[in-house]
Amino acid sequence: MNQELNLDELLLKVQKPARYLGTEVNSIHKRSQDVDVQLALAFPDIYEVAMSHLGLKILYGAANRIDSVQAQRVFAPAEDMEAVLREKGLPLFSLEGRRPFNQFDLVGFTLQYELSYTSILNMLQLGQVPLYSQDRTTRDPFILGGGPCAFNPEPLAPFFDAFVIGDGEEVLEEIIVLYRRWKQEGTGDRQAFLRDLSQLPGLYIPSFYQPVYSGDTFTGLEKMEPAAPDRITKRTVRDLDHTYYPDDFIVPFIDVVHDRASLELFRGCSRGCRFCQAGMIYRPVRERSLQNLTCLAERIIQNTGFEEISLASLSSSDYSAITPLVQQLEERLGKKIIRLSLPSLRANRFSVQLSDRLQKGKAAGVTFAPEAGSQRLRKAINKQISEQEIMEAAGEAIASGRNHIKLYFMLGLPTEGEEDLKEIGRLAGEILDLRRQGKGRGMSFKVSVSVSTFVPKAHSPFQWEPQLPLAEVKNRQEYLRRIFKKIKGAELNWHGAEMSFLEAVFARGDRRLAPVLEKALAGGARMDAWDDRFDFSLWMEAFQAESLDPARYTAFRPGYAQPLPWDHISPGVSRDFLIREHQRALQGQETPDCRREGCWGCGLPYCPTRQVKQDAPL
Amino acid sequence: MHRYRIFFAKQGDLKYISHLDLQRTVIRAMNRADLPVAYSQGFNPQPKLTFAAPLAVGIEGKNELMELDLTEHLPPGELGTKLQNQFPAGLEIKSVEEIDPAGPSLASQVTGAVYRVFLAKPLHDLEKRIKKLKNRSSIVVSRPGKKGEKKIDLKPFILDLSLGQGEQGQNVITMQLVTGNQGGARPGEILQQLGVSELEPPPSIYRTELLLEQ
Repeated sequence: MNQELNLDELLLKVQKPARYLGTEVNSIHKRSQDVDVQLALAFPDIYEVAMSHLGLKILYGAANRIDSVQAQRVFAPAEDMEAVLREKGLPLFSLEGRRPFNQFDLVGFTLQYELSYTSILNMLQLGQVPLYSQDRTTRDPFILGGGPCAFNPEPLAPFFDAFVIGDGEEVLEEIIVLYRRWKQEGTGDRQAFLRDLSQLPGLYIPSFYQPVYSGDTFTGLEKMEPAAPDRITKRTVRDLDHTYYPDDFIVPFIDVVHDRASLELFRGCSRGCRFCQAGMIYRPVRERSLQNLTCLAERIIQNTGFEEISLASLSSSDYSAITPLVQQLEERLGKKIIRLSLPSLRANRFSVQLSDRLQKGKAAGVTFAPEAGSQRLRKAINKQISEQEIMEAAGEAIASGRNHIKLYFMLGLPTEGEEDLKEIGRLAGEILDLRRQGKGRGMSFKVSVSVSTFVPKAHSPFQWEPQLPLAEVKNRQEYLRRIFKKIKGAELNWHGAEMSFLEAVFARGDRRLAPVLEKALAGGARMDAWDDRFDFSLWMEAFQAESLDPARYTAFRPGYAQPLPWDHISPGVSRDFLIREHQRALQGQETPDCRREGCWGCGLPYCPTRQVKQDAPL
Repeated sequence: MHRYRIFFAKQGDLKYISHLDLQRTVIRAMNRADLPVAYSQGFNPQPKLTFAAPLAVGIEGKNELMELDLTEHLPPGELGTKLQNQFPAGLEIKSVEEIDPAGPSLASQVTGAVYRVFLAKPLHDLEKRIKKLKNRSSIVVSRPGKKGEKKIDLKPFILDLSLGQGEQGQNVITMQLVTGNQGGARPGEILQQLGVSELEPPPSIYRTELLLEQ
């Protein structure tokens, strides 16, 4: 039954009504009678953010390529639209077909950041789907979740029917095949479908497992369904060159955060920074070939008309053929005015030169992420950039006329001391001195330093480390403020400590947090990643109501032998490797990039660039 | 260099996109159509595309106007087809003609516009309200400006205001307003003065014609 909503009345009452149209160029519309599987791809934030996310775009195209499947986008409504929907008793609806959320067969949420969790629950509520998986009936869609936070999905476990761990391109098709078969069988037995799903590699069905606690401590996960796997291994797409990649991105009408096309150069990262979850969960590194990327870029520009392409990856200048790629792209796309951009720059001269070439002298600023002020701490976190490299990179940027250098650091990294914070100030000062030595052009020059709080993430070597207590975070922020007051030409920004605190609670959280999420939602929490919507007191009330102390999660410092609430999800790299990296951090020892210097035995079952390093300690 | 004048409609769902969104949409359509668009000189080259007058969000434009410069000659019909093929639903080209690139700027030629407003439900005293408004010696409204609120008298900007009937007997207000570089009145402001802007369901507003100096 296809029920389309008449939006005209709603759209004139809200800001930026074009967010809700769904008729952009390259959006895909199918007749519902031609479709037997209705899939909603849900992003728990507003249009401008959702349309900047690559993952959903890949799944959108991959699913819509299947004739009888339709994938439609569903995003979180902006505050004013939500008010109108609630006032009129209308359900959350999709963009393309304006289909009510609860009339889809399958809904896939992308779990990108912990502060989006209440927005997810809010969308379920607005979509008139029971919050708890156990309360859903045959009439309700199956709610699935994927993305980085699916690697520790426990705080969301009671709300989801299934989680998809790892790369989505291949498993998506497998899920659809199973769903179609189940639907045809016509029993309407939801458990049967979930049992089928549990047999697919990469699928985690939370209701098939029950966490066990001894007092306050998590001791393990009990399997309730004998056929379910003991551990869920992530999916890894092996050959990115022969895996679907979109060349016809939807072209937004309105201005979105990243208003350009993305070209994914490679997936994964081998640098091994110890605070970084992405570096672990997206391994192994798999590159797309030069030829494939060049052809894709041409088709993308032809089909979308975008004026800019972002060369996207976790560390784009590490693409093995980056210089030839840029050369070829410039040649092939040169006739039109196409800008190439890099999402982030490694702090070395090469990357700055690359960026200069791409920006053609038009970018005013450059951003580096040293993460730690001192060489000692950078070694401990395995962020392998020396001060010399940073200064050379800064020098290169200044000489090419950039008048703004932005530096990212983290506060509260393991082994951090006062000395390390002082070094942040010193580094900023050195860069300013470099500029004063007359190497720059133009009048103004600014160094801005942005400091966020370290959040220990599941499946990273620092998953055994606590977050700095909130009060201490504020002390250190104040300390930095005093240092920077004395540095002329430098500006200090910092990320809200309370937001980072909440992130840390959920990043290493367990299922006991689920009722807190529900309480927070009831109290009005949503869009928590937005400064103007985040309400810490609301959250503290929710924790109190559930008699949970959030600091227990952030201060959590387990021993290596202690069971962790996310142990049942395998990121590919071995626990031994993570332990080893953690210990090397405490000893201040670096681990080189395995793609440059040989395999360090991270334990991946499949890795295309593995070379066995004979004398690596294992 | 070759200059083309294009009349088009912006309607249906596309009434919800802003003027800047429209600009962006047309530029990208031109990119996809591989048109030999002329670009401005200097640091940040922009395509040489201009619009006669921006259309507010929520209003359908039936005869909107833009001008485009190309570096190579294209027959107007071919330009129209190539562009239309890349336009999203709601953007419709009405006519394309080649004009003299040495002429005056498009925006400077616009003197006013004609709007037609269709009410969903009839208002019994609408005729009276219109008469009353026309008889006022001044109609001062407040507009939020960059430096705080500005007071504007709409009276000189109302060239004509009349009541008619639509095909289904609905109330249709037709207004001819000054609009352009020298200031003007906005249809929403006139409707507010008539007390019809807060009606449920809201009235449908169309800009049916742009008035050009010729």
